[in-house]
Amino acid sequence: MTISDADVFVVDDDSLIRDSLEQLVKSVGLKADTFSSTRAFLDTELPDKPGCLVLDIRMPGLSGLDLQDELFKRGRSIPIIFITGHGTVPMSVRAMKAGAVDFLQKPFEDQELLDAIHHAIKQNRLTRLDKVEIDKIEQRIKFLTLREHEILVRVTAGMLNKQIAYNLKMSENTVKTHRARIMRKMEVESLAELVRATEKAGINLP
Amino acid sequence: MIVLNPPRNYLILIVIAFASLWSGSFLLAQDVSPVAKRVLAIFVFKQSMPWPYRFEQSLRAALTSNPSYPIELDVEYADQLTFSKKEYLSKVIDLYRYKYKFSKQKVDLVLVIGNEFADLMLEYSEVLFGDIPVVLITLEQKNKPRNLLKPNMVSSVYGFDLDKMGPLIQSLLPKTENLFVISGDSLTDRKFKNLAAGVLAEFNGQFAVHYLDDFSVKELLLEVTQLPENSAILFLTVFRDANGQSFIQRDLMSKISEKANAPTFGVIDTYLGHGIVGGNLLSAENQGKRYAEIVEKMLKGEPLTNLKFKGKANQMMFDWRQLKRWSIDEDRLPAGSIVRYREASVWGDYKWTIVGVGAIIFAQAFALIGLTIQHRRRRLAEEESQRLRDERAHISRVLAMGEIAASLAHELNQPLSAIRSYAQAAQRFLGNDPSDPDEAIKALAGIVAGNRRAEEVIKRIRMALKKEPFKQSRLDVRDLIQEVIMLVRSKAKEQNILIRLEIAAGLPPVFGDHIQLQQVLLNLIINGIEAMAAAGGSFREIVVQASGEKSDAVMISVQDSGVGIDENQEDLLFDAFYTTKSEGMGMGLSISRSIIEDHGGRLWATRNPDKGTTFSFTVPIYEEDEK
Repeated sequence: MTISDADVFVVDDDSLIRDSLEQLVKSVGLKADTFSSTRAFLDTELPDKPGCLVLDIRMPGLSGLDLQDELFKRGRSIPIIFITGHGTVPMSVRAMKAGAVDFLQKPFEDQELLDAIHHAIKQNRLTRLDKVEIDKIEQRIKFLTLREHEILVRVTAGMLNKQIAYNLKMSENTVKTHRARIMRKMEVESLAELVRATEKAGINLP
Repeated sequence: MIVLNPPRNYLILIVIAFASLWSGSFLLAQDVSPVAKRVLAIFVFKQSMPWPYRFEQSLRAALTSNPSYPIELDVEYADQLTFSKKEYLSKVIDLYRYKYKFSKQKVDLVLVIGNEFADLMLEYSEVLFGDIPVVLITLEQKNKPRNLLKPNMVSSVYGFDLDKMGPLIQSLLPKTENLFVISGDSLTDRKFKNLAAGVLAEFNGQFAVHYLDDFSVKELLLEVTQLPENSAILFLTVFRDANGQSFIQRDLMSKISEKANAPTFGVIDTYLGHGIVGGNLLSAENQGKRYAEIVEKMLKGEPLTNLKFKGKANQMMFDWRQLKRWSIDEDRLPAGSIVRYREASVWGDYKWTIVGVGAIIFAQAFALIGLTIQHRRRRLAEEESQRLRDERAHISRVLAMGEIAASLAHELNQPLSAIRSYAQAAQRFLGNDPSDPDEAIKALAGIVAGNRRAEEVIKRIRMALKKEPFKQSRLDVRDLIQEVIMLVRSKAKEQNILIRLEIAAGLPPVFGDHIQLQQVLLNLIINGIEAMAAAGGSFREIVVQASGEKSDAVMISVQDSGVGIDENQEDLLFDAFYTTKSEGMGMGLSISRSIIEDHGGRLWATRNPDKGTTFSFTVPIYEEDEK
């Protein structure tokens, strides 16, 4: 499948719905790309930019909910706005639990959908930003030596230099030197910054 | 009644006895080949008058049929009623003498019919015929003194029975006030009048009797048109009128009765059918026969005293047409009357043919009416049963539509939703700065498309709910299937079921009822969806196939991968009210089958080898000549 640079992806087997949603999305200056089946969407590689998916919950074959599961399994995170003609409560609960942004019942106000789209894209954008920072932190962590990694874990855990020196059977000065080098490699200026970065990257104490 | 009144004269007896002996010896001698006896009949009348002619015919027939010995009959018509002068009569006598006295044609008996010649015979019989037996037939015997009769003569009468005439006229026409008796101026005419006058004078009737006997025929014909009301006419004879003109009786009588303003009665049977109402008529035929008997007996030599008539001479006879003309009720006729000339002669002549033909026509008409009624009844019954089937199909259709009501709503919701989106998009395209009319136009086109689709869905729903009589037409199989899919796809989608079409290329059109065939498809697909909903499973698909099964039919099948049917359910499947579903009447398949059978196709179910059921049906293809 070709790479799309759309902001909004619409998956619906009903061409009329598909086209009308595309028009609606276009009318607010967003780009839209449409798919007539869940399978077609799965087979498409998405562009590296923020966006969202407008998905009909009921579709023959692989349904909207099935697609949601499949995307999660493949680690392709994209905010999903479900639309349905005759949705049920259990269905919407399942969708929301699986991380859907919104669940709209047809026919809906255009503003409802557009708000949902905007919200989803914004969220996606944020998510995408976080992800970039974490990637950077993780990259930096990779450059730490084993000794520096050991000391980082203990520093972020709140241990004093004296305790770390005793714990790792080294002098207190050596600990200080390592700490300074960690601060430099992690590109942080304070202990607080270091702790936040490691928290973001999900590095926990063993 | 008149009987023979033989002279009781010893001399005559002796003569007769002698004559018998002689004739007996003659007969003995002639035993081997009997000599024919000759009888001469002399009529006073003109030749070819109806009554004498018939009398002659009857006499001849009776005489010549004698089995014991041949009798030959000679006939003379003296025509004395026309010619009565002495000169003429002497010439006639000369002629007869020459013919019968001096020729070899000896006569054994003479029969004289008529008063005029009877009178002549009293004078000339010996000169003419010697002493052979002579029978004189006259109107009456009163004025024939016995002493005038020769020993060889016997006097007899015509046999008119005028006694009954008066009572008859009175009983047939009770209002009669005047009876006009018509007679002529000849001797016979006058004697006849006297005879009648005597009888009528004795009859104490309620009507006056007038005699029209001194008129010329011309006057008479005028007279009878001016008779007073409640009159009747009795026509005797007018052989000669007051002017001396002679007539054929029947023709004259016919003219009179035609002109007369009163009913005419007559005395002889040959008048009947020529204008008279009827009367106690003297039968020429009967009299001929009766005199033949007398002749035979006399020829055998039987004593004249013993001669008696057999049978009766007169008969009450009437003309049906005249009875009608004078409004005489047939019920008034005396018992034993003969009524002739009934107008329904075709009926009379061809009664049995008419009855037969009529019976056949009637039978055919009856059969036709019967068949028509039967046909009509059957048609009405068929119409009624078709109407009931249509009704049942309609109810079933409504129920089926009810089952898919939610998905039908969804099917309508789709275009409505799309229309709203398009409309709002259009608003934005136009409201943006800068506006984008091109995109707005596209959006508006989308609204139109959505509207069309909504319309189409509504049309399908209305059509399915419509109550229409069964009507077959040319149908495209693909359109037929796709229209049904439009109604059920939401339902299928709800159950996450894919409906797949496999329609063979180049299928001929079928001949069927649009709504009812779609109903069958709808039923089968809904059944399939419900069967699969109950079965679960991830791969859910209904395959609708259409193929040319045979050259004359298209087969459409609906295959599901649902719960399937048990072997023991197979027989019950198409029964009414049989259902495995918690909801529903169990009518769907039963009705579907009767719909398909109405089309001349069949519907059946087969179990799929792996999973589910396939329902198939056939529909005849559309032939050009079908309409």
